[in-house]
Amino acid sequence: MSGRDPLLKIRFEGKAVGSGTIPVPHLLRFLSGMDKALQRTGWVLQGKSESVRRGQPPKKVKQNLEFDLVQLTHGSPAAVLGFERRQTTMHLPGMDFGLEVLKRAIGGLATVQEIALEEPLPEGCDNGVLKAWRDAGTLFRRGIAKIEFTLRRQDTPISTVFTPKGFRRIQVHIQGPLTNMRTIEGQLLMADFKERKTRKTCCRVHPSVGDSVLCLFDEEQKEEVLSDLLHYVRVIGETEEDPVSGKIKSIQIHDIERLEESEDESVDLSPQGAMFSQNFWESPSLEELAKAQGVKPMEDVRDLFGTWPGEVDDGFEEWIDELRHPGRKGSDRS
Amino acid sequence: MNGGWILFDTNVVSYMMRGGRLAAAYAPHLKRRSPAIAFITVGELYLWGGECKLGRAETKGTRNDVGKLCGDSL
Repeated sequence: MSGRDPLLKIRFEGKAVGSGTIPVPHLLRFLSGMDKALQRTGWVLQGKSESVRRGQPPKKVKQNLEFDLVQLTHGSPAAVLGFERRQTTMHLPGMDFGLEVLKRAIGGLATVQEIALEEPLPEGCDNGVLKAWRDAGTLFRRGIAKIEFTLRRQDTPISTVFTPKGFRRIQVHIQGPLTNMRTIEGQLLMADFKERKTRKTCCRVHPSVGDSVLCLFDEEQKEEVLSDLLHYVRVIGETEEDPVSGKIKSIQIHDIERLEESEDESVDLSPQGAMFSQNFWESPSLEELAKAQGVKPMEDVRDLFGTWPGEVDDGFEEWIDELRHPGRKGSDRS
Repeated sequence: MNGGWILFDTNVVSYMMRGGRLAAAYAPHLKRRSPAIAFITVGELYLWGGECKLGRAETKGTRNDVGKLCGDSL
């Protein structure tokens, strides 16, 4: 290093970091979110209507946004990371696309933490960028209290502080105006990515308790749904409910977020019990089934005596006979 | 309980639960046998509970009794 500050410095504060140390899972999660935020900002600045697309970003965006970690130092008490651009090509002033993306992304992060819901998003920002920052901001649930970005520039550095309050504000922006919004949590299964003209792509969320819920999502949400498949997620969206039962018929996803801390709960949805030694074509015996389920037969059948909840002459047996053989009442019976 | 399994049809379950003369008549056939019921019997008993609009306590009582026959796996 030449002694000057790196191009981008990111300072983490909170009980999860030590002086110059940060847990690797935190770092991975943050860098993944930040990388997405930068790439998507690049897409938006290139004039793409939606930043969330499957597949590789354009070469220009990718090449201009490759970074090296060149510094890990400490504040008091904080961990500070320093990054430099990998690409060393000289750019004419005002023609450096990568720097423009960084400026818009870091500056935009400050703006979206402050603006009202009805205000337009800053240049270079869309819902996909917000979701990427939201993913990076999940560190606030893991012992990080403050993340400060400082972008070195020839004139005045740009500095943005990402806070838990701003993180919540971004979530509000992602969700949009609250009309019949509901939140459900569960394991994401059975996604159908086939395009149909009359139907939206869909998936199902299986809560730990209760029926699974049909979730509808748009083209730009495919990537997120795909990456969260089989994982425990929180879905926020607009619901269509059955007017009689009040049950949720479907939910149009506004936001989907993986809940790693709840991953263990999804295991409970898997079949439980001892495995059988038989192969697929051999049925286990009743004894083996009972053993696998941990159940035992009734010890004394006399325990049943006198437990009938109905009247003595309530006609249950006749009712069963009619149920099994409708219309045979009064005719000859074997 | 080494006499093997014996499958109760639904009416036999109701006889046993009612107790009385019919239950006493069936009882000798059940000695050293492990009683079992089919899922259709479980369904019929619950359906009857619904038809008769049994209260919550009565339904729970029936569920417990049927559960005994099913090894408390319900």
